[in-house]
Amino acid sequence: MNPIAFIPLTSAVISLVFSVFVFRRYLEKHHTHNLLWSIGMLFYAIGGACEAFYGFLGWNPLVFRLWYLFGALLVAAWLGQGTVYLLAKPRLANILMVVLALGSLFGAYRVFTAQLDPAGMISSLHTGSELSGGAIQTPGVRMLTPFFNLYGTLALVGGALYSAFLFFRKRVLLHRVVGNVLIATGAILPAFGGAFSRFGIPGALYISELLGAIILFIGFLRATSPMPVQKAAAQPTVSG
Amino acid sequence: MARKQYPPFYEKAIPIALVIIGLLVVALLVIIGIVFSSQ
Repeated sequence: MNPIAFIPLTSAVISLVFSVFVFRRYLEKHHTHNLLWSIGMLFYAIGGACEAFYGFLGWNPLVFRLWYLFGALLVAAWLGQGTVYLLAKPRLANILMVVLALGSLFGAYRVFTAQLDPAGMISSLHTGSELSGGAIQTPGVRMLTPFFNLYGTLALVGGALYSAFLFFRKRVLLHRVVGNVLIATGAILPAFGGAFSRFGIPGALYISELLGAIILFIGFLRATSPMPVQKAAAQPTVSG
Repeated sequence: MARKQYPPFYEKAIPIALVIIGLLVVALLVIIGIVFSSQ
């Protein structure tokens, strides 16, 4: 048993609680972005659970495929699609949703038909103590990941930054500004962790995923609960 | 004409945070580019 597995286990629990929380909000308000965020956080939880499984019980091809599909390939894109529904016109969001759904099905097919070799996770950079896409032997499968993750990260981080900027410019809804800054921070952390993991930094992926899940959750809670703002002193501005 | 303001801490912290995260996004794109091109 690898004690590092407690980190992704914690990520999985937090993400699952987050997913249920957002899904309940979806049931109350029927906003599509909440449904997609809930699905995205469920994928996050599946990814964390698979990482924990590997740490506690060792290699299992089905668990690896589930981890790669949900934790490495789809999570960022589905979370980002939620933000697209929040900010883009419905027609554009629907078109991108169809593309994402088809891409996800194609990704699932490629991941579940790929040849695997757990020895591929051990390299000059990696010890194999964490799950790594290096186990995938079939060419072209890992090439899909940057497209999904780039779309998801840019949509989620870009959308959160854009929302924060709009509210900040008008000096309204401070809780939304703070929440979106936290969401952008939480979303970018796992992306950095994944990149650092490729450079062989041990624990980078799991720690960044845990911090990402915590900060995303806090950001969501912050963005959805108004802050008791003190009445700020109005400053005169020079005009004309 | 009065201009609405957030509390002073947020007036300073939010623009700094937005710029830092924006720079991190650019850095991430560069890292992804390096990883991609080295494969």
